[in-house]
Amino acid sequence: MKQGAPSLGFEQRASGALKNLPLRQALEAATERFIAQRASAFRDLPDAEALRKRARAIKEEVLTRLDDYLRQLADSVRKRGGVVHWAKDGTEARGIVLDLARARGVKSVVKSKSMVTEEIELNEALEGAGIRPVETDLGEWIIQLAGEKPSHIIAPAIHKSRHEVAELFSRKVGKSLAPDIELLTATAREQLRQEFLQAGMGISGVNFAVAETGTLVLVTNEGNGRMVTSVPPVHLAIMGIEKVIPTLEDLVVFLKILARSATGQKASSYVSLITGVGRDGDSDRPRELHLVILDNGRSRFLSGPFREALYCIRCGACLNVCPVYRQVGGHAYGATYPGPIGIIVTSMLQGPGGSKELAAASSLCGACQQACPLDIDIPHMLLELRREAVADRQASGGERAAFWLMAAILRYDGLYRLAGRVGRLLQRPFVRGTSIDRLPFRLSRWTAVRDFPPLAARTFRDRWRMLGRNGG
Amino acid sequence: MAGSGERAMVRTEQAEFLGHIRSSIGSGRERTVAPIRFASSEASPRAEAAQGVGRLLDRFLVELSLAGGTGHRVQSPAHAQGALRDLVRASGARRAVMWRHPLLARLDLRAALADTGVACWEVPADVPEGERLTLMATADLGVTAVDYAVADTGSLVLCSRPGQERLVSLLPPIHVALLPPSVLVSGLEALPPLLRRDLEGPGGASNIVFITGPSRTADIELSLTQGVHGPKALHVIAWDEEPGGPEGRDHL
Amino acid sequence: MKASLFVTCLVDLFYPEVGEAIVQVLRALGVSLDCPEGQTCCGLPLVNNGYRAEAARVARRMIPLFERSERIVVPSGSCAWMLREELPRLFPADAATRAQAEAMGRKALEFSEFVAQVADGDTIGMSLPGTTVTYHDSCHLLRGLGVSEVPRRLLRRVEGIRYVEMPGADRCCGFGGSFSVKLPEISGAILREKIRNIEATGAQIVVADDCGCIMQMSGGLSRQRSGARVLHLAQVLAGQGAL
Repeated sequence: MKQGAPSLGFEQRASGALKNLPLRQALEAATERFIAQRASAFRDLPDAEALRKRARAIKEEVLTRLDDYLRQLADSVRKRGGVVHWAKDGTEARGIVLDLARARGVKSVVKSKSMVTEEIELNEALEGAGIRPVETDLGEWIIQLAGEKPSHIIAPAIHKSRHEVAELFSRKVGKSLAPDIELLTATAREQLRQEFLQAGMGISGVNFAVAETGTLVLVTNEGNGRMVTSVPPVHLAIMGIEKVIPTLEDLVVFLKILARSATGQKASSYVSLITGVGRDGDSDRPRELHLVILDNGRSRFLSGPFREALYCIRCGACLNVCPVYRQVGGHAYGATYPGPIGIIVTSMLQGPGGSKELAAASSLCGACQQACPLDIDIPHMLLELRREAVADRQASGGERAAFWLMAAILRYDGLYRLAGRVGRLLQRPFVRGTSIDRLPFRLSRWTAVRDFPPLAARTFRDRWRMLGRNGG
Repeated sequence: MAGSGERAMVRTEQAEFLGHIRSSIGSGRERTVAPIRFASSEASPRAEAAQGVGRLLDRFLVELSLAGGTGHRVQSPAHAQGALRDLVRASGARRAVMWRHPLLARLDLRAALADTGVACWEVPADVPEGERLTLMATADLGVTAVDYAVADTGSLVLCSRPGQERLVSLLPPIHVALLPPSVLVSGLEALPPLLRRDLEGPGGASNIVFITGPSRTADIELSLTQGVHGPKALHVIAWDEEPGGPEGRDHL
Repeated sequence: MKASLFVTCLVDLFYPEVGEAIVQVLRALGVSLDCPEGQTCCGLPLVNNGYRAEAARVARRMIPLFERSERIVVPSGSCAWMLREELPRLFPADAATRAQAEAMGRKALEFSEFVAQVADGDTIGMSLPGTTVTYHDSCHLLRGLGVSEVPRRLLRRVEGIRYVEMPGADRCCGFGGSFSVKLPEISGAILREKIRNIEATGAQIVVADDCGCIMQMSGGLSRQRSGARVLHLAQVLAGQGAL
């Protein structure tokens, strides 16, 4: 069940978020911090622009020959003893995971943070089959205990205060815990350590998958990624098709960008490179490695105006700078992936005919593209979604009429001048001094929040005509 | 759509899956893209080291510290024992697990630990399989060598192979790594050719980890805390070039 | 030097004094300015809401009006962006019109860009002693056209001005065209943050080179009865800054 039922609509969920003062304070603190850290991390990266271009070029190469690279990846993984599964959608992916878990008699699964598993609602499926999924990323565990969805791609529980966390943990361990962050972290370490040691399967996402060597790369800070992929006897990794990259050299380019973009670190605490299963005689490795490669609508974007959306490395930089996200947080979007890139990705996952309501949730300021380490042209993709919404007749009759009228007014000079005269007449009862503080009908949406300027008594064009046309 | 209905489903085969992708790309395949690549440096750690390992080590230790790790620069390998002993006393550790590694043997670290009353097991050699996990999970200290170290980021690179158990650097709350000068490289760019060698063949390392500082999180109120699931503290004992020439790089 | 003025619908209908200020400033710089008859709008509101075909029709009518212009001065960053970057993209299948659109775009300069080209190095404006002024980067001007230093430089050269850099000057004011009425609560929340930043500078005048931003910010400042005024750069340079 998504946080804030989708039937409510973005505007209503956003309205609720705007009234939530603690949430807004947490969002402001978090996004400001991330912005500052990211800025300083990129400032001391000598070849930042060159890296960005390289990263784009690598992604472009991969998407152009994606089937070849996926084939190479699968061959490399299998050569090293891994098993590759292909899932065209979430249903297939869930089926693969459940089949394997049941076949191995798995009772509990430890998970490291994976947006893809959220996307396919894997936890719900596991629970439905009587298998207990345990989120091990601290932020994810917090919201799992709270029964909520993540509010930010990188920091899923930023909306929770230490007091709320203390309450959650106290209920979990059955004794009262002080809202002390060190204590709470130590509690999580202890509780989750037990889970790691007894789980029958570890499930992870994949940050990058290197085709030449069949290496799955996991970028984490807490160490749970290493635990999930080292302790349980079976490791299952799920990745979107766009995560494959050609070589280890390409990996270095992305590693340099990812940590800096996401949290402002030069490098995350841990980067795990997982290549197949170890040789017999290695005692501390999983006995099985399974890789699930998921499409779930991504292939839809491989040609066409949304291709660049597949460049996304899920760093969250666009969220931190988006004026809309900063005000309302992730839950308002009512989707797995929030924020600017989330709007595009959500449309991709929904498929043709899906609601384009979210495409309106942007002032088109362009800060997202500027912050994006891959320079993804999110604003143009938003414009394209809006165009599709109109073409699909998703706009209300009233809106279509209004824009049809606007288009006519802008095309026909006579109509334009007439509209001006009519407007100046109709506005008279509303003008108070030099501004209008209340407008009727739909226009009240403006004046509910701010004043509106009156139409000028004489337009500029009229004044120009009076002044004479001399070039001066 | 979760539940028992998934049991008897059709699974997409590779050919169909990739065929669908290929046709989705369509005419876009004709595009020729020239990806910009690094001029990949074939420098081996030894060659890099010869260019002034002292400075590489300086940089490494600065970055390590910024990442929350603690560096211990000793005069020579012979002094590593002393540094380890000091560390152990300061931490109050009683049980340690250790890699079986030629460098650690040469430094005679088992003896150093025994001197301080710390019980030490080399994993997996000293321990029956069923008990390994518990032992590593209850140890206070994990001692390893490293395969490489990256000065630019203060990162250690550890490959898992027999004698180099991955959990030794993960489960105990303190991780101590011994860093000889010969394995230092300048930046991440130097790693691909090295890692390629470590990955190839049937003996390839199934797990390689880049470790940069201790485990950490800022998930609660953005307050940085160390020691979530991985080690709370990372200590690196390092020394400069020996006057006689670069330290040999040993591994299986 | 000859140039044509692209009025923009917001200047024409709501802020003609901005247009007058531009005329005054450019004439004082020796520019021979004309204003092609029959102009309405660049079509950006239609594009922003997904009505591209309609925007193309408006553009087709508008492009010939500027055929004989040597240079085109545009009061708003967003309209200048529309003409330079977006206009040709409205005609993917019509090479002839696309070429005309590209030609028009090459001639288009936003007001401050134009002034810097014409009068680089000169002090242009009236003096404005004892007035604290700050500057808001409008999104299309900053991120779309890459203009940020020029307007600040021109402002700083106004004699007597006390220029203060606003925190978050480069952050959106929340206008976003129809966004301001489609999601007014969010637009208002973004605006309130902008106003807090304005008030933090103690500025009496906020300068912006985009009438959409001017409309949004002045609407908010007036609603909050804040003392600060929002002016276009041209108005400050033309001496409309003095009370």
